[in-house]
Amino acid sequence: MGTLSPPVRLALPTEARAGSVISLRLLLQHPMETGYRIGEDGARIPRHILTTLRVSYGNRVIADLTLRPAIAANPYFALSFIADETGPVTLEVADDRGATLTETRMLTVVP
Amino acid sequence: MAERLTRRQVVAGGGGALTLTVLPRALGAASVPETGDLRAVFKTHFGDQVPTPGGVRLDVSRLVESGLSVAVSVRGEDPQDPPEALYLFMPRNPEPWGLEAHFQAPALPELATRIRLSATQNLTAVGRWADGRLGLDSVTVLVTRGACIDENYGQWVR
Repeated sequence: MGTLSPPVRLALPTEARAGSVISLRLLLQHPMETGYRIGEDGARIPRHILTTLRVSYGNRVIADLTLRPAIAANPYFALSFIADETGPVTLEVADDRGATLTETRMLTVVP
Repeated sequence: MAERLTRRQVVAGGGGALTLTVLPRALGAASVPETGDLRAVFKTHFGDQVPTPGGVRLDVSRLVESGLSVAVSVRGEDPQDPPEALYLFMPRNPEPWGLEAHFQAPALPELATRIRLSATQNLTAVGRWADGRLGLDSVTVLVTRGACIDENYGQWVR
């Protein structure tokens, strides 16, 4: 339980022309511990990974990602979408220990 | 009790033929690395449907120094016919299923991220369309140093 540390970087414009392609780039801080590594003491280091990343725009979930241990530590994601309405862009991230993070940015669309 | 073979008999008989058949295979295995098999993984994810090449584009470096963080990007090739989901599979990682992404308009079916690769393998991206079609793109990535560098290295390279 708890809150994940805020994104190291979240690149998203605040204003865009209707119909233009918006690129969303996100860098998160997370160990993404695979659960396969053996620590100094010889014991398996327990798995600790991000499991989901969901991006909503307006009232629509536009991207829903299931993440697995193959995603590198401190995950980076770049997604894109077409600006069609003024509204909030929300990122929801969760890890396998119940920690979550929600980030919202307003996107203003000008004609 | 079986008669013991002398060295002479072995050389004259099957031994020579055996050496000839075994040796080229061993050499072949050394020069062409095992790149993994995804048949079982596809069965789990897509049932009896088998993805065929085409429709998606996977961009990744063909030679990477470290498997710990490998930049990849995947996208649907035809903007008029976007896949609803993209998958990434790493056949020789301890877990071949690496990522699953579902998209809905106005999102574009494209994604870039960084992944881990435990060894040289055929990194495979699969796209799934709303009508059930499946397409794939595959790139053999040579990994100089895998992502699982510790004393158990051999254990996790499938």
